[in-house]
Amino acid sequence: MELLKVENLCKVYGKGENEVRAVDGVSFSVERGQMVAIIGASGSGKSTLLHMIGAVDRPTSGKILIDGQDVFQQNNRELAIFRRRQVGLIYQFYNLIPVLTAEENITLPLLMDGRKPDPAHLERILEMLGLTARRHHLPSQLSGGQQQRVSIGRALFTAPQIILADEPTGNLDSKNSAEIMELFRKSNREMKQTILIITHDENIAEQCDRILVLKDGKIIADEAQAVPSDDRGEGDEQDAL
Amino acid sequence: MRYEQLLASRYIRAQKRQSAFTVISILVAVAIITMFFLLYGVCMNCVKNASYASEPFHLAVEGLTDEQGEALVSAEHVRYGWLDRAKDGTVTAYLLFEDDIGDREIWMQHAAEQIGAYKQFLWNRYHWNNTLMMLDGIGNEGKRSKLQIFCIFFVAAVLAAFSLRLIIDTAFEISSKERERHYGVLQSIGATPEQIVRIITAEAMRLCLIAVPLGLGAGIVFAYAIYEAVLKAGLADLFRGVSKAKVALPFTVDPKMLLVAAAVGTVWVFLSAYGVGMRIVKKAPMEAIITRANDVKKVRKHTLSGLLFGISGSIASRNARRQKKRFVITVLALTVSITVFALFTTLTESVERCVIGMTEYFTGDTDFFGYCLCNNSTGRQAAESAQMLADSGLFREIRLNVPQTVFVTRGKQRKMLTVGYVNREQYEAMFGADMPVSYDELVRSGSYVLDPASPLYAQADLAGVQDELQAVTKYRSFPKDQIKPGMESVVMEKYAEAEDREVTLKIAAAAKDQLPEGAQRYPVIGALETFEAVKDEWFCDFDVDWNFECISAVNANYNAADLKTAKDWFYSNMESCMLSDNIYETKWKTNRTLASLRAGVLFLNVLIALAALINLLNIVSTGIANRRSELASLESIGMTDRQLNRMAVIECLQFTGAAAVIAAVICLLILLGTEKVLRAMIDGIFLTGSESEQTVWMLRNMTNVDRVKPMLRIAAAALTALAAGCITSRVMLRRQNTESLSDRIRGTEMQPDLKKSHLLRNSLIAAAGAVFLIAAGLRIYTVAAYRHDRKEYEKAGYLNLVDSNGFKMNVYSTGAEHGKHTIVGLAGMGVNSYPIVTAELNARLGKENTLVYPDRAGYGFSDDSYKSQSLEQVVEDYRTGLKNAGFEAPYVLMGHSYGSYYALWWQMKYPDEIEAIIFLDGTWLEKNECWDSSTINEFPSESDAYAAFRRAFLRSWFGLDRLPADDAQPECRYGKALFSEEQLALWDMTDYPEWSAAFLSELKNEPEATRELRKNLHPTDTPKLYFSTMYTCEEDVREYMEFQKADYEASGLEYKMNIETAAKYEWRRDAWSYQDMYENRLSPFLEQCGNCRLVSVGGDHGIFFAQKSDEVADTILDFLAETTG
Repeated sequence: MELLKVENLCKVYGKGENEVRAVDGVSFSVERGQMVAIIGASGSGKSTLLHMIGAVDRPTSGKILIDGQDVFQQNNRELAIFRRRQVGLIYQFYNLIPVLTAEENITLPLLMDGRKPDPAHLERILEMLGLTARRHHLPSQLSGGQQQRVSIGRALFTAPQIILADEPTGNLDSKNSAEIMELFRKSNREMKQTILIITHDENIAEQCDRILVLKDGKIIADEAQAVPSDDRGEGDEQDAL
Repeated sequence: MRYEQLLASRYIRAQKRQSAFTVISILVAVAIITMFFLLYGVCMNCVKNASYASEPFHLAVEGLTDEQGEALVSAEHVRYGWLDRAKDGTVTAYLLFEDDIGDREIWMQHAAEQIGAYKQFLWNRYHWNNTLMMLDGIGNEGKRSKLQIFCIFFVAAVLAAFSLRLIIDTAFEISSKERERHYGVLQSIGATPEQIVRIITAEAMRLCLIAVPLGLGAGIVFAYAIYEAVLKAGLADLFRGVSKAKVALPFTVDPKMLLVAAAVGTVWVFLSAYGVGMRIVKKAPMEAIITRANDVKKVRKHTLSGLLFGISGSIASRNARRQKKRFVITVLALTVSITVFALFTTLTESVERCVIGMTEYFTGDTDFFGYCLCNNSTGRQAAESAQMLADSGLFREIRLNVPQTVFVTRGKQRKMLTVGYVNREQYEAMFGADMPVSYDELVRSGSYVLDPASPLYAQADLAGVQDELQAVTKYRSFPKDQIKPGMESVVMEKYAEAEDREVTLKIAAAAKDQLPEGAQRYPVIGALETFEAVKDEWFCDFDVDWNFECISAVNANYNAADLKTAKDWFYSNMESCMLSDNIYETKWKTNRTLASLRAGVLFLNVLIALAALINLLNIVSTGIANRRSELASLESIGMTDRQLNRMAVIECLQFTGAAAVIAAVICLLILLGTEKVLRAMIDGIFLTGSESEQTVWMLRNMTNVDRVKPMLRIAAAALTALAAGCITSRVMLRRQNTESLSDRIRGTEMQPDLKKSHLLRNSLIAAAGAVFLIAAGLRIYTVAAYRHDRKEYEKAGYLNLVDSNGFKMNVYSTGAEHGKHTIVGLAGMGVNSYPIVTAELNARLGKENTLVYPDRAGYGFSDDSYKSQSLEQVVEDYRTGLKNAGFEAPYVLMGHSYGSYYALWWQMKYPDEIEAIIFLDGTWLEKNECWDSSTINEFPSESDAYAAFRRAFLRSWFGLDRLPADDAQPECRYGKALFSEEQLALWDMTDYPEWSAAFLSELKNEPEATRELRKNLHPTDTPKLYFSTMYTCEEDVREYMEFQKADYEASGLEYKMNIETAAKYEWRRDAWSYQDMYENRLSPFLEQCGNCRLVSVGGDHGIFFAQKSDEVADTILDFLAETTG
């Protein structure tokens, strides 16, 4: 089932001589439950593409359809709500709100909706992230890995349709990276979460169902991985959700 | 809690420094707004009080009959009215309206119809007091004007607030810019733009909670400081003293104004935050996240600073301009404040110089103008008066001139010519250095000088040749022994019957230039000695008044003491020297008014400067805080602390330097412009084209505006700002240095503090606690002082507490043990010391009678009572107290002033208990109910009065009365000459607890009491004796003044009035009104009382104990012997 459809997306910065085509006519679609890796050299437009899918940036031309709905047909308010509920963005540099605790950062999208978080659900997420002991700590009191996990928690908490991760492990050591990827796989496997990950890391790319390669704003390759989903490394000992 | 509120409160606590700055900015802005509104309230109040003091009515109608007056006073909508009799016998009605009369013309027509007084209204014999009507909001026009004035004022205040927006905006902008990235993140997670705006406004409103009340408080403090400064700088002198000024111009805090200020402030802050929020959400989230606030887009390659200071200067210059908008706003704020500071004082100084210069131009350097009077019926000569002026020693350079009229015949025509006879000083003042001929020569030759402006000038041939003028004088003769007072005018009317005398005026010379405009203008000028020589022959037998101009002998800065001395001298010598123009007073008033204006403006300057400074410091400190990692990087490359400091200094210089330059340019433009305007004014209004060059130059010189001082001020202000900025930078840099270099480079973000800070709650509790402690302390002190005083009172033998109705009453008694009569003294309003001050009276009366002085509730050392002090209650209390003290009826009641009310009531209710009533200047009942017209001068309306009473009550309750007074000046103590120090001390002691609840209640009940008495008053047979203190002759006035003089001298002050003349003057002025009061107000009242004898002892209201106690006592004894045996 097609969840995401990108049609001829373009993003152009500057004018005339200084024109930069960050994304140049990209089109592809993603099924529900897929885990897609997006790779490419620096400046190839990966982040720009991801940001547009997350409705955090506006394309110069083209369409993005999520669940059949044209994302950019919505007004600002609807977009905000869209970002809140349909999409989870994870950044390379965590981007946590420094004045909120780990727990509050995680539940923030829900708070914005004005809803009270389900305590049981929160417990599960915290356990899954391994942050139970650190739930009341501020970002400044957490290590890099922990901060990234909070960021992921924030993205996962409302169980959005699609998760977009921009170099989620870029700032982490190998152990943390492995843990993070394990979380993603778990989420993808058990909750049928659709995930798009931008990465430089080949290991990570190999763990995904599909690899999109971008160069100069264009997709130059779109390979499906033949690796079956239950054959990903040992050691996923974590509890089932 | 909603997450927006959560975030808002967390941000406030996380960025303490930033929040603090924002709070201070809001505080200052609100303080300035509050100050504006409060001073508006004070000004309006002052205008109201001044208005009430001079014309305490809304409408005055003259020329009415008695019936018309009565009818008018009870017309619709009239709250209070009172009638006054004019000299011609008609009645003038004064009305105060209680509520709206709508269209006042319609009301007037209606009223005119009702009372049948068309004539008055047709002939305009009425007068609307527009000011008061506007202030009280009476009548459609009144309401409209009041609204208009408030609107104008409000608009002005809002405009001022608008400029304050710069400060508030900047504060928010700075804090929001730092968090732009966060807002971007929030939006990317899914916050709607409204939610982001809500976070910012939530933060703003929370800061308001702290800042606005503090701002209101600061505003009150600022307003009071300006008020004090303005008073002490000069305004108070116009009212003869600070305490008197404070009565005329009270400083009141109108809660309505505070609310308005708070509302305006809060709305302003909200709008500011809202604006900032809207600007932030305009950006796409990603832009916000990626774009760092300090990204630089363009830099100038070569800058002035770079040239002057090298690389540090380059970096500094570029840094300062990183955010164009912020740079511009700061420089703008600094420029405004520096310009205002530099200009205002200079401009007010210039204006002052101009105004005084103008005055001096027209009046010369003269201080006083007037007339040396002669009195032909008593034989007093003007020369004698002039000599008195000289002998007083208070004046120097006394110039005299006597104008006389002659006629010059030209064929059949006769042209009138004024000859001025002047003394040496006047002559020298007229001609200055340019004397056509010396005064001595003039005297010796008996000749005259011709003014070029004289119409005869052209005709006379004046090539240095002596000429003669044939003229004719009108000579009037009258036997000197038949001259009676007032005859001068009669004889003047018979002018035409005077004889002609031909005279020859020898012209010695002509003046070279025309005399200046302002000087006395006489076509022909002669010496005073010449006048003395020819007057009997040429002019008339009658002596005429001489004009004088003189200068105060003490020529220091104009001051109040010298002014008073001079005025007092003139007042006491008005029979000989009559003052017509007091220029000294005018100049003094101008000087004082401008001085206070300057003080007020200076204060305003300080506030504006404060606002600008806060802005600068905010930007400087935030700039350093934000660039933490950058500055650390510079250090890690090898920049020393000194170099970093230097960079910071140069950055500050960017702001202050730019501001100083712009301010200087603006100042110069304004100064030049002002000069041009002043000059144009002078040219246009004052110069007529006929003045000498010298005059023109002098006038133009007055308009010169000092250019150097403002520049110096600008430099000083800019340097101060620079210094402040540098100190702040240094402090910030030093604080940063305490952290490790690598930490700083890595740039860990803001460290929020999750501890629940109850700063607000704690500070409120602390403040409340402090207030409570102070209040409790004051109350304890007051009670202790009261108890101590009471012990002293007891030691002196005056204390005798007995039970009355629910409180303890002090019943003092003296005189014979079981005297013939029991005389009960009922004190007047607020007289707590009745038993003490009646010592003399009691000594006389007490030989054969018993004197009892019960103090009613709240008086003296009787307890206070919270019951309503109606006539009935008080009288019952008296009766109970007296019984319990062992004094049985019958009584002779001796009521002083208001005490007579109780006497009357008592007698009507319990006629068997009262043998006789003695009224010591008892309050009489007016024919119509009115708010006493003399009280109105103190309290414009009942509600004002009660508000003032309540304030006095609180002051007294907290013992603030016992603190020493404001004025260091000694005042005359009433009774100082008569009573001993111990008695005076006891007297003071009884007055401290004066403002009791019972006393307040009594005051409030007065109108009701009057009504009740009037309803029930009927003639009775009980013998009554009424002592009236109204003057009956000049002797009374004189005796009273002697009595006053004794008090003054006992107090160590000089009694400067000349009693003879002053008494004469006062009696002459007021005799008829006393007469009227006796006939038309007192007598009817006494008739109503029945069997009442009137005795006049003209003098002081407290005359019975103070001035003529012997006379009074004897009269009382005789009366008692006669009527009751």
